[in-house]
Amino acid sequence: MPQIFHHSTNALAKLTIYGAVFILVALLWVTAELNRSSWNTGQWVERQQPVQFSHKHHVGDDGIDCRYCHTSVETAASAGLPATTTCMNCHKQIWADSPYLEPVRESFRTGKPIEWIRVHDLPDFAYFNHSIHVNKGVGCSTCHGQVDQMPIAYQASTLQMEWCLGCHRNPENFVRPKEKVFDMQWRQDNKSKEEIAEGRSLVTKYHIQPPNVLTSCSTCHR
Amino acid sequence: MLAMWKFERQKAEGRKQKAASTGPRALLPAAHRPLRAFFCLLLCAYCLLAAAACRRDMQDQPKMKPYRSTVFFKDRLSSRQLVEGTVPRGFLKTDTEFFTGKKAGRASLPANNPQPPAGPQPGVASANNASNVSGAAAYPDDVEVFPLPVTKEVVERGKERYEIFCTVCHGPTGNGDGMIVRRGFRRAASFNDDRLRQAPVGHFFDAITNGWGAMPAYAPQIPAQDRWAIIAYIRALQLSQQSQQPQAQPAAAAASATPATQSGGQHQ
Ligand code: HEC
Ligand code: HEC
Ligand code: HEC
Ligand code: HEC
Ligand code: HEC
Ligand code: HEC
Repeated sequence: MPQIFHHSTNALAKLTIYGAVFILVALLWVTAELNRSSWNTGQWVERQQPVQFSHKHHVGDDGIDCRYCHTSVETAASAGLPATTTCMNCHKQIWADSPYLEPVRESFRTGKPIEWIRVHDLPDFAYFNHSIHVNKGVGCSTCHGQVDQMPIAYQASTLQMEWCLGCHRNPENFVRPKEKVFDMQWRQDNKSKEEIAEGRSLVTKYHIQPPNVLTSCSTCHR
Repeated sequence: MLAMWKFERQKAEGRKQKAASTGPRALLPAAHRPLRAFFCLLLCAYCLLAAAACRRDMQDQPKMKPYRSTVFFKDRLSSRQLVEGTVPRGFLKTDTEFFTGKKAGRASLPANNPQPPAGPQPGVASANNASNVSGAAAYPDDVEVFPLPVTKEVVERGKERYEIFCTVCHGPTGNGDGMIVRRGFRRAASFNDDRLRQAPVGHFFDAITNGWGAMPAYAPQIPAQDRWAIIAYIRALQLSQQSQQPQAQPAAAAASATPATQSGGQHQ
């Protein structure tokens, strides 16, 4: 029986086996990328809400502070969402008959709360608390991006564990003076040496715990 | 039928084994077999990973977190309203001056509470009313001294809270020309006209807590302690604006011609 395969196929076969390693690595890499992609994390996805509420109008154009609506952000785990009466503070008078505000008026009449669609949603096995971050100089825009320019709210970070840890390992790259926490214009990329040194002094000033405490599993999985 | 199939399979496996012992040995020497097993395992592990995200029971646990809806109660609210007539621990609010801004004893008499004016009432001229009764006399029920010590920290806290809640309408200097007013809201009162300079602190507290005319009530958003802090800051604002009186005069005159101040003198 004549040889079917040429001798060089041996080399080819060996190559395929070693190639399999690369294929596996590639598969793992694709999985990791998919895992981090917005398809999985929901990052950048704009959520349509029952009311076309625009942070761009209210914060960017009208200059309303975050805490006017998210009142508990400095004192509680949850930032808090505004009650219907908070909207009606202004909308009883301005844009009082805009069709876009009909769900708000209806909620005001009936006493049924508006059901907003969650934009950020950590899994229930992870614990997060706004007050500690806000009171230790981590600004809204560090985690939520430029909210004042969002006509529709979206999630600006992955909210994955590696993202939390990225900051908990090196908080000095992210903390800012406390009075700047609500400043949407604060720049956080391309920090110079001096700015990081300032961050380091803030870390000591605000008594931020060392990374081994902040990255211990029970800090967030409790 | 089943037996048949089994038999066929055995035969096939037998063939495979034979082949393994002759042909492909050149391809995969015995030493490489653990490697193959390793790859198989890796593949299995990979498949398992793909199956990992099928259930989200731990992501979405059946517990109630803030703002989460529930099917347990008919109104679907997981955070419950207080049962009528009950007082949560620590919310008894026995200090009436602190929590209502009214002199002790007066707060319980609803007839004595000045009712806020409902909207603009252009028939009444503000100047007359203001000159008739002024200062504390116009608001006999309202406390005239702060029911808490006013320290630097309190004023600073007040500045911060003022800028969150009041600037949008009353403007950064309290002249009543904030952003929302510029967008069509009724002109807010200027803290820098004489009537409000002389008004007792309790009147401000009343306005924040219960609303005043077109102004909404802020009690749901601002705790009592912060309301007093805001008033302390408004007093500081009034002083600082007064010292700039010569420049501020035309602005104040303009302000007194606006409807906001017209409604001012109606609470006698
Ligand atoms: C006028 C009231 C108002 C102000 C001021 C305001 N917000 Fe909001 N915010 C809302 C409402 C209502 C929602 C829910 C609807 C939505 O997601 O768009 C919301 C949603 C959000 C969300 C998404 C929450 C989720 O579902 O996960 C973030 C983040 C947020 N706000 C951040 C901010 C920041 C930061 C500021 C200050 C720069 C701010 N907001 C100012 C009313 C306000
Ligand atoms: C350290 C990062 C971080 C900072 C800083 C931060 N947030 Fe958040 N925010 C989150 C995360 C994570 C969630 C999702 C929480 C959850 O799903 O339980 C969230 C959720 C929210 C929500 C939805 C309601 C809630 O609490 O679940 C609002 C509103 C909000 N943030 C507003 C703000 C505002 C306003 C600030 C600035 C004062 C701020 N956040 C600062 C990370 C942050
Ligand atoms: C402090 C005052 C204020 C509060 C509080 C407020 N808004 Fe507004 N809102 C405005 C102003 C001013 C505009 C006009 C925006 C602009 O053109 O800059 C507006 C516009 C809007 C519009 C667009 C109306 C249209 O016809 O185009 C919607 C929708 C809206 N607001 C929803 C809300 C909701 C929902 C809330 C409560 C979470 C809220 N607003 C709270 C001041 C306010
Ligand atoms: C940009 C920086 C930053 C990010 C992002 C961040 N954190 Fe933090 N976190 C901090 C700082 C700073 C502290 C304050 C530590 C201290 O006080 O010692 C903190 C504290 C905490 C604490 C309280 C620690 C304690 O000792 O009680 C928890 C819980 C926490 N973070 C959870 C999270 C979770 C969950 C995420 C991701 C969703 C996250 N954080 C993302 C900076 C960050
Ligand atoms: C800074 C807070 C923080 C710390 C510290 C932390 N985690 Fe997490 N962890 C999270 C968050 C947030 C998530 C949710 C991530 C997501 O939704 O993709 C998570 C998810 C997980 C998951 C599930 C992964 C998945 O994709 O579903 C595991 C397992 C886990 N953590 C284990 C640990 C272990 C082990 C440690 C200690 C070495 C630890 N975590 C420390 C915040 C933290
Ligand atoms: C949504 C806009 C708005 C906001 C925000 C607002 N006000 Fe007003 N305020 C008004 C308007 C409008 C009037 C004039 C009411 C009238 O004459 O009908 C007024 C009047 C007043 C008065 C005068 C009462 C009188 O005797 O004439 C006081 C005091 C006052 N506001 C205090 C405050 C304080 C303190 C805050 C911050 C916590 C605040 N306001 C926030 C709109 C607002």
